[in-house]
Amino acid sequence: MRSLSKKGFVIIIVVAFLTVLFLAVAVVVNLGCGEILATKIDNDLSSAFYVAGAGAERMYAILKVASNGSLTMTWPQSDTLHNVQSQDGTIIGTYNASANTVSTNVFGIVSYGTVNGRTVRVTVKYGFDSPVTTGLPLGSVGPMTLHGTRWGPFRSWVRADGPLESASDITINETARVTGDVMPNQPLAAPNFWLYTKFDTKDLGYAYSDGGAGSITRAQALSQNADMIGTFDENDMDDNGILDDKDAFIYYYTEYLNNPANNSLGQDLGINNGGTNYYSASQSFNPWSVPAGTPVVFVNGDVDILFSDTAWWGAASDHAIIATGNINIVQPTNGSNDRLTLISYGDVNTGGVRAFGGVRGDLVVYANSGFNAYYGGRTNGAIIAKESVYVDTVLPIPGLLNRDLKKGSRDWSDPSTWPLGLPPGYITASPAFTIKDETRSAPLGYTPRWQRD
Amino acid sequence: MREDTLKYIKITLSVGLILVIMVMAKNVLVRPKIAGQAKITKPQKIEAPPAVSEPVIYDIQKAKSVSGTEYVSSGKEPSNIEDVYKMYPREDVGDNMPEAWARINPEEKTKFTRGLDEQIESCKNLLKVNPADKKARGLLVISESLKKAASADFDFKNEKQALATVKDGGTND
Repeated sequence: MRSLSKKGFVIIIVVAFLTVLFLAVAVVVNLGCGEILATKIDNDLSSAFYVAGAGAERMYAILKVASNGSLTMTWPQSDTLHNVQSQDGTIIGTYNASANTVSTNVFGIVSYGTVNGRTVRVTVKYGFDSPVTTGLPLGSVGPMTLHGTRWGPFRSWVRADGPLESASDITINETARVTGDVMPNQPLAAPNFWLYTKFDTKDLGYAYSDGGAGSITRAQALSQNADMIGTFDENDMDDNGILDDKDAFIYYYTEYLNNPANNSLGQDLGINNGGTNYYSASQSFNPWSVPAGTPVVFVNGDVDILFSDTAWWGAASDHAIIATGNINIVQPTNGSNDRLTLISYGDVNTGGVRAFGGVRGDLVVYANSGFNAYYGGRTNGAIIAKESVYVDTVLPIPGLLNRDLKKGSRDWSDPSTWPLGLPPGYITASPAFTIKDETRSAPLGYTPRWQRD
Repeated sequence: MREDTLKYIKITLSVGLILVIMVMAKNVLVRPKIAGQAKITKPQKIEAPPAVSEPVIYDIQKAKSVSGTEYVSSGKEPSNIEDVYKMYPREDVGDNMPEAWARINPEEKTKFTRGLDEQIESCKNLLKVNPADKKARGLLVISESLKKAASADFDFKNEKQALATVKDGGTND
């Protein structure tokens, strides 16, 4: 009986140990599986967050490019079902991002990141201004060409903010980049200097017919009305025996704009024939040529300029040069609080070195003929040419001769703040929206707000 | 074995079993049931490089350079480019051209001036064929001016006087 009792006890002990062992194994397996599962969920959700973040960043990049001069913006915008891959090409997950306005000046990006079936939503808000009116960064009625240079591995780039608009073709080669809209064949019209009926420069009451030629000679006028020849002579501002757009140009500046009643400064500008700021022949200017503080000069001829025609340092300089001939400006330079305006009845040619100097404020150009930019340099502002725009870095010297054409920094919403001397009908642009400065708080900027749902 | 000994063993095993069940239950309870209860990493924005702002300074007497150097106008006007950079802050006058030019690789400079010479020659040839070629004329003017500036290392010690003689070509009425 005693041995049977012992056998029964052993069985109980064995069963008890097996039970404990089984339970211990079950606990260990359960704990392990639970941790693995929790970790995997955690990893998937973390990955999904970063995938969603990548989607939001990509959506932001798309909108940021659009804010660099896009004239059209429709809401909502979306960037859907993109795979996010690791460096070895493995697909980590997918995202769906979309953007829409939240309020008048705030838009939000919502991005869903999905990894292994687990989804995380990320939202971020940015501030924006809409619309912003500026001078058109680059425009021409004739053809426009942006030509960077590449000789083998050596390149010099043309980089333009845009938008670019032309009533003709726009040609951009492989070493030129534009971040805003590129819009060829637009219905652009050049500014018109005729204040009254064409060929009636001074509103003397008799306009001549040119038969579509664009100009009329004294002999042709005589054949139309011999009694009005005195009127012809008075309308012929440059006394060259031909009535044409140049007479309207000269009259517009030397008599109309010079009048205190017709300019934003409300003062005699001294650009009338014989005035303080009227130059009767071609000029070569340097920064000491024109007294500091002179708002505008008129040159009846060509102008060659090195850096600037007036002191750009010190007080803010808002200065205009108007010429009946060509304006050639080498290494145009000014400070961040300055604005230089060049108005030419002929060509405006510029060139320089991008590695240093350049326009830090604004440069506003109207060329009644063509605008040509050679070599490198930086300009911020608005450039319009009635004929062609031709930008060519010429030599492939990296860094030294890149050409940057950036949009201006000033808001042109109020015409009274436009540059003095701007032709009537100068082309402006109102980009659909601009993302507010993210480094500043409201109202000047807007700090982005990120949220994970 | 005595009955009471077996009783203690059974009690111990039962207590152990209950503890094991409690541990398991706890483990099951803490496992996240939905994705939203998982540990959430703090969102991080991909930081863009800090924007460089260029404050507009209208009062030059108060102007300071980025480095904190104070520039005070002595009332005397600069008479050459070198003075301009000495007397005024960078945000007002831009990069110091002679200094920046001096830092450029001599090979690049040589390539640049050689390229200018070639362009000048090419433009002159084009103008011989067609004197009305506006592009050639414009490029010639810019190329010759840049060559002149480069040969002076963009450092015009007596710029005021040197260029004033050129101005005599016109008349300021």
